[in-house]
Amino acid sequence: MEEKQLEARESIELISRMIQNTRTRLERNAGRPFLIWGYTTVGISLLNYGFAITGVNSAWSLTWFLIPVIGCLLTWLFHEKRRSEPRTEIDRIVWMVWLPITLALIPIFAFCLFHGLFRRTDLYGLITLVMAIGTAITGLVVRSKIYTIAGFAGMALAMLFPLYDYCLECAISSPELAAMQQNGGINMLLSGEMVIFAMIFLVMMVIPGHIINHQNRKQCSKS
Amino acid sequence: MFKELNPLLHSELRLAIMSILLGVEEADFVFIREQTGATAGNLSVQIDKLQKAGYIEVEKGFRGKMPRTVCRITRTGIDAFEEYVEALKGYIQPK
Repeated sequence: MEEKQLEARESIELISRMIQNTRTRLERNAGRPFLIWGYTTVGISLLNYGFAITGVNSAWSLTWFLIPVIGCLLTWLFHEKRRSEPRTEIDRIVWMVWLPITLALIPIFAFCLFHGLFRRTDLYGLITLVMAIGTAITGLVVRSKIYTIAGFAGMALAMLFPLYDYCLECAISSPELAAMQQNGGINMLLSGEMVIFAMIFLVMMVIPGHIINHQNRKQCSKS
Repeated sequence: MFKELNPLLHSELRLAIMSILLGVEEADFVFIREQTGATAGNLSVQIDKLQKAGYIEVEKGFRGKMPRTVCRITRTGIDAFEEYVEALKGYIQPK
């Protein structure tokens, strides 16, 4: 690009092209934060499910706290790689949305640490709801149907936890379950919540993240 | 009667710089160079002209050990850009 004089039409084309190219480039990896947090949550949930059904020491459940550690580390690492990229007004708003949401997770995690064994259902549901609200607001702010739908789907799917708990309570009186309780099979049923948790995060964050990245890469290759 | 186009903005590279900065809060020199495909020397000269006109702010600093130049559009720059686009419309719209 040189310092050449332009025709009026060329100027308009240049303005549109620059705005569009900048937007396309900035949106190229827009799904990445959702993939980082989604995969980390799904991975740790399934890991804990594995621990629960194999009956290892319950101290291993402290690995839940690896979610913020791994998530923050990966976010920082990927941000470092893209540090020459500018921030937009939308980035700032999305950051402002996720800041209180992240802060809200701190007392929830503290609650998990002290009451996680007795309030499992509430805590899984609460974390899912908080993250779903963040996803839905992000979708509304960036005008992404995929994130908006994913967020609202996450809110609806959070209902699975009380429903599952209700079904367990109904079944607890059955003689079959009493037999299961004796041979430790009840652990597997209770741990089913971890699989539900992982599946919700797969639907709410991982799949939308991949769809968004795929769409944006397609857009990038066109322009 | 056609409005006169702002000569400072009516240049390919300077207009590209302003168009990029319009959509972001601030942009790194490297990012602008990649987006415009201009040489570092030419880009520096044009950024300097825009800065002297008060259309953009330039902040030189370091990120870690690497020098970093950050540019952001000013209110004056936005107003000038809007005026420029308004004037352009006059050249394009059929009478």
